[in-house]
Amino acid sequence: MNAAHDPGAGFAQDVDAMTLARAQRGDMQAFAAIYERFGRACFMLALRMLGQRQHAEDLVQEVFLKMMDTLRSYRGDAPFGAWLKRMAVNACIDHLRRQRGNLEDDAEAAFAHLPGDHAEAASAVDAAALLARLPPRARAVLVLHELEGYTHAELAALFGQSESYSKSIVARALGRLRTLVSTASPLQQVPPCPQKN
Amino acid sequence: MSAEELSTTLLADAFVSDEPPADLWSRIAAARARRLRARRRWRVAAAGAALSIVAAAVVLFPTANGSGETDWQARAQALEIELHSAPRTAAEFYDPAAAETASELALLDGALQAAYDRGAPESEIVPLWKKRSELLTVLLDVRRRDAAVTRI
Repeated sequence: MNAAHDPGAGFAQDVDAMTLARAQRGDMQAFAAIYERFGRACFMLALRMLGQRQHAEDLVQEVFLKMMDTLRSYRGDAPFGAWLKRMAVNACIDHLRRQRGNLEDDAEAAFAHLPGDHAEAASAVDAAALLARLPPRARAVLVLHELEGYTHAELAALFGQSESYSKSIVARALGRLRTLVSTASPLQQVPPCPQKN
Repeated sequence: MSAEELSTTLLADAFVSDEPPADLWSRIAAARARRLRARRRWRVAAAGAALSIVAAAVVLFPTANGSGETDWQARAQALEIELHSAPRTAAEFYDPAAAETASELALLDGALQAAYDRGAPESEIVPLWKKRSELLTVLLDVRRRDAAVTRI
């Protein structure tokens, strides 16, 4: 799979023990090497979950500052990328909680006040625009479930909700995406997104 | 195409061409530097405040038993706080007097702890605190002198 298509590939990378040890001593060059390796994965995850570049940039900064503060407590029980990814996911969820209007604990309420599926149909061929038309929390749940492989049980724990809430949010979000796509143009006609070589 | 395939394809495509800004790391590094500076300032301020409190206590309550004698324990503790708040210099590591004094201080700390452990009387403990104050004064002088040389 193309790494540019799979943000998980970024988090799946290893960090050599030397770099990790130097970073744990506060070496900024080692931190820069870690950013070089995981910065994009972290940014992509945040962008997909939050939907806005500025928020994603702020979140990457917040996550890396926190990582630099807490790296000494990292004992290697989990791979470093998984540890960092969990930190990023938690930061995204905290960000959503801090934003007014993203606090719908009821799956029904989360989808209640969305614009009609036929509105701005032309823009729906753009994947990012489609995602932007999901409620923030639903988008985050969907990204974590569909792309990052989180189970409903894990999502329930992360969002402080029940598994049925997570299942309902995912089902409704998928349904909405399907409706949006069908009212726009067939997916086959969506122009391929440019990719870095 | 199933809903699951649809969403995975869409999600994978969303923002795929987006890259983090090139200057994001330099912004993070700058924020880190600001955070460390703020913490350092806070530590120095806290050490200064603690030193002021201890110094005030030494001035206001110079004796432990009202006999007019110096409270060497309080004095040693005040000197220690002052020593830790003074910036450590590279020259200090190569100063033989500092090394000898630090080693003497370590031995003295062992003797002091042993004296407390066996319940030694004040008459035995007070001279040890006095000696500790003298050794800390030497170390503090070395550090101040080195700092002055560094500034020159």
